Amino acid sequence: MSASFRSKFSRFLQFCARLAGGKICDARTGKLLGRAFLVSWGGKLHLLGYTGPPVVPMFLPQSQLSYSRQSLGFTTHPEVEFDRL
Amino acid sequence: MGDTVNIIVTHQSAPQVAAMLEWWHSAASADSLWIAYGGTREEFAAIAWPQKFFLESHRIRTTDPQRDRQGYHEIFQQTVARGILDGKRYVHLAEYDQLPLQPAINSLQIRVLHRLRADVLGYRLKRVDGTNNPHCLYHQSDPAFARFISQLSRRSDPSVILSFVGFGSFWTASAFRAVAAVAEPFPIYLELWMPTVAHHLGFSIRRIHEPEKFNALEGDALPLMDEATAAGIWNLHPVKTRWNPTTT
Repeated sequence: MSASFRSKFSRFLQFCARLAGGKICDARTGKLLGRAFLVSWGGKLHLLGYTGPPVVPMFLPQSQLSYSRQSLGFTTHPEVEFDRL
Repeated sequence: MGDTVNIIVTHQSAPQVAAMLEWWHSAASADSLWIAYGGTREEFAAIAWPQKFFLESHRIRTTDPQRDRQGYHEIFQQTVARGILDGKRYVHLAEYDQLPLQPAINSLQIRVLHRLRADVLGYRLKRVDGTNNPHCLYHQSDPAFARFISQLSRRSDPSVILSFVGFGSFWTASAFRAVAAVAEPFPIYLELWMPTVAHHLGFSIRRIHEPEKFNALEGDALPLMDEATAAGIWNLHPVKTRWNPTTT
């Protein structure tokens, strides 16, 4: 696949995700981070067309015990504020 | 003589470099301006500015910077080896498509660096380990990347990977020298290499807090120049056509 085609396809996918993708919200703050298509394929979950800030996937805490449903959400790292050693 | 070196990376033609330097004279002293040249040898010879050096490495000349893992390490190494940092305390690493908007920009950068007690400032600084960041995932596919960071790190958590963009980073000379002294074991993309290596050597990296529309990754930011200047923005990016003969 040529770099030019790959780039155009990638932009098209991002455009579609912005238009019709599901919301990706920060599970801790509720802030909207972007939109994407989430697709399960080959035993993996694929994030397609997302252009927002880098997200960390996390299983979400549940206030009710459930053996049949667990939710995967997203969050972001905090601001980089490491001190000098 | 100031205490900051402004190193500007470019591959453009000699007339474009001359136009760019003319603009930079309004932001920093002439003796602080150095050209790190990634174009052809013929064009390099045609650049009249005396403070210049030629980049030999193929790491700067990439067709697909992200997939080819473009690197600025030779800029660090040549800057130190040529003694450009001798007697200097700070380095501003700039790209040709970055437009400095404030007079005495270096004094503004130094003030913020000290206020934050930082060693390096960068645009769009983010922690990217464990995230969907494509550059990080691409490097993590090779276990040697994590091994290299782990062996290098003086931090308690060697898993931290940081990313900032290639333009407009501001360094203490000591942090810049320390990163220059680290041998690159295999190609590592510059956006990961610079902040991650500096962090694991024990330096403090902080984000330059400017609205991201003024330091965009794509497009042309030139129409935002007046707004950015009024807002006190240090550098506007990208302005790739600014030095073309028809627009200067």
